[in-house]
Amino acid sequence: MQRSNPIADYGAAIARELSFDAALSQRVRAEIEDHLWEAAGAGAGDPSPERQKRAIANFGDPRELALQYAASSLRKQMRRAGTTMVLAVAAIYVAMKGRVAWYSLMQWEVNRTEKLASAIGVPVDRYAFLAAAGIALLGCAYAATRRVPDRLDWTYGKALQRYMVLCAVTAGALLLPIAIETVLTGIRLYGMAWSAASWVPALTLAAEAVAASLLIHQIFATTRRTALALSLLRGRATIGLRAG
Amino acid sequence: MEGEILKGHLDMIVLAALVGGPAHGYAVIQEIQRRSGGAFELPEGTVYPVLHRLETAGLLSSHWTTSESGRKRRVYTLTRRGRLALADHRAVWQRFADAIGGFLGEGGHATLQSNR
Repeated sequence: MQRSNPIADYGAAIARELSFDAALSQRVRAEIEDHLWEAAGAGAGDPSPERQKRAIANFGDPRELALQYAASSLRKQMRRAGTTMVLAVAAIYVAMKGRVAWYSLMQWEVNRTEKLASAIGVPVDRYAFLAAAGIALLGCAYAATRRVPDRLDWTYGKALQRYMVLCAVTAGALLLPIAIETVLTGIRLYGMAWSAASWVPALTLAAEAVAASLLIHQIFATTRRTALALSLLRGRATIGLRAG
Repeated sequence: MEGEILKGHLDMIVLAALVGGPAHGYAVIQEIQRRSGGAFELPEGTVYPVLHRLETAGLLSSHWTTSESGRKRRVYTLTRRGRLALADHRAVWQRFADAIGGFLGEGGHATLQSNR
């Protein structure tokens, strides 16, 4: 018959509750298991399940612990998403400006279709980008002014959700100029003999797409992590009681 | 001591427990219990999220070592910012303790006398 191992069970319970942050989960599990073995007196040989249970009882409920870790973990993730958002806006701006500078340097002829498309596309492109930059700044200001609680609560959870909405709107507003620029660049390059110079607009567009993709990836990762962490607030855990 | 009162000062307590040098979580808890003469009774697990939060704020740094028993062990060290933050906490606490002491001591005494 397999011998019961309450510390390992408790470590597994902690890791499950912290599943919203895989790296943190592994780190905390190892750290807490080390604590519990020491508290149970592992130095004097393999402690009995009773001694292990006593050490666990002094430690606290895994879900309560996870909630205390969650706030700072989510703040870190929020900062990561914010940094990605600012860098994506900056990268797209630089890529757009670089492409325009390249066009004027190359002095490529502008065909009639492109002129017509630009007349509609360029203002939309400009205002969509300005809106994206404005919303990104608003999002950063919103995140910077939120107080991070010691323990995750619904107020902070709602603030995170609002912040993610601002990030998603920024990403949406960035996708619009990228789509318009892709069409305009396509029209410009269509019919031209492909040369080394043609790679510059193509690469700047690719850079914009990569920046937007990274932002979208961060938004999905942060939203998923926030949703998992907030699920800890729904209902009480019984895992700790089982382990103890 | 009341847990809720303690929780408000946990950052300061944990930083102060690390003044003596780097320590792992269990040693930090032992140090807190030793220096408080057993007055600070909290679930032991409460200290770990505080250590993590202080590290995220740059007040502590940490690294893995291997304990004598061969287990992985995370050791925390006060950073320069952590020492400055502790000095700030101490100054604020001292002012607060002086004010409360004065209020409950002399002020409270004066109020009692005037009510007689």
